[in-house]
Amino acid sequence: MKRKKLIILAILIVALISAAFVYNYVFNGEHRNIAEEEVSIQIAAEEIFAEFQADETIATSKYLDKVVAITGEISLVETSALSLNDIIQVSFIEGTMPDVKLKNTVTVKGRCVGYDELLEMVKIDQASVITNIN
Amino acid sequence: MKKVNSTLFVLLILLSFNVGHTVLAQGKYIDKTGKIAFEASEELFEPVKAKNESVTVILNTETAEIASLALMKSFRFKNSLMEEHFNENYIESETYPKATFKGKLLDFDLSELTTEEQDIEVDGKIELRGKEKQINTTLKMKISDDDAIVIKGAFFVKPEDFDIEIPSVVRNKIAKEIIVSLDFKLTKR
Repeated sequence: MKRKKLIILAILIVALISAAFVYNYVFNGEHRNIAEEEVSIQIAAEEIFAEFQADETIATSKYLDKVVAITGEISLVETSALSLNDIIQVSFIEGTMPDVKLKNTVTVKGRCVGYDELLEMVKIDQASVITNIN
Repeated sequence: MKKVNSTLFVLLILLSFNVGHTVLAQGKYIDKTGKIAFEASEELFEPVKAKNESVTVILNTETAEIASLALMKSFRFKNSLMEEHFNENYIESETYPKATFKGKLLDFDLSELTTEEQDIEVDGKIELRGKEKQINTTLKMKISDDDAIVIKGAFFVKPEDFDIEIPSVVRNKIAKEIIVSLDFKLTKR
């Protein structure tokens, strides 16, 4: 009898723990780590920009939320962002801004979040620099 | 004499071009990392809120016209599942990747802005999910120590303003009125 109670108790505990795990997985699931994801599209700054200018809807469905690697020349360096050829706005997660120099050609990896027609720039976030060609 | 005159004329033209150019350049203030947050939390339930820290804002101080653009994918939620639902089921960000605001500041005069916050009314339209919504709200504006224009404010919108349907299962977990707050710092371009 005592043994039966123990088994029931054990089953209850296991059920509770797994429920907690499932809850945690569903409600506190981790965000994507873009820097560790594989690049799905490699492209030059001018090319991706031209695609968004030509047809934003098509380009959006092709690039939105995708991990891209874009190559271009650094045209502006800000606190936690940089621009490539004045047409790609690249932002870094706070505190992860790499040491880059103006006019350098770099390939940045990040998530494409869309086209900003006010700035006339394609926006990339959660970026990391993968190559720095001097 | 004739030659001097024509030289003067050319100089004047050049000068006027130059002046015109500076006036245009002076009138533009930009923020590329503006902050917009929204909250639709209901008491006792998990907070429903997100923040976008890469909002674009352009203010033309000559005409008092103001425009802003927020990409939907840039809204960050604490809960990644909520972020996914926001993008896929509510906003449909693949089809409608951005929200824009176009409007005008009423009774705005740059020279009257000081380091003290003052109320300035703004009138304009928000476009989201192909729907337009008229917005009229009061903003707090001031000049910061580093000569930037600081704009803060908050206003309410409703999901139905943009044809966003809230499924009945979660209806009591999402507020009927969503508060949108903004925090911009525009620098001269």
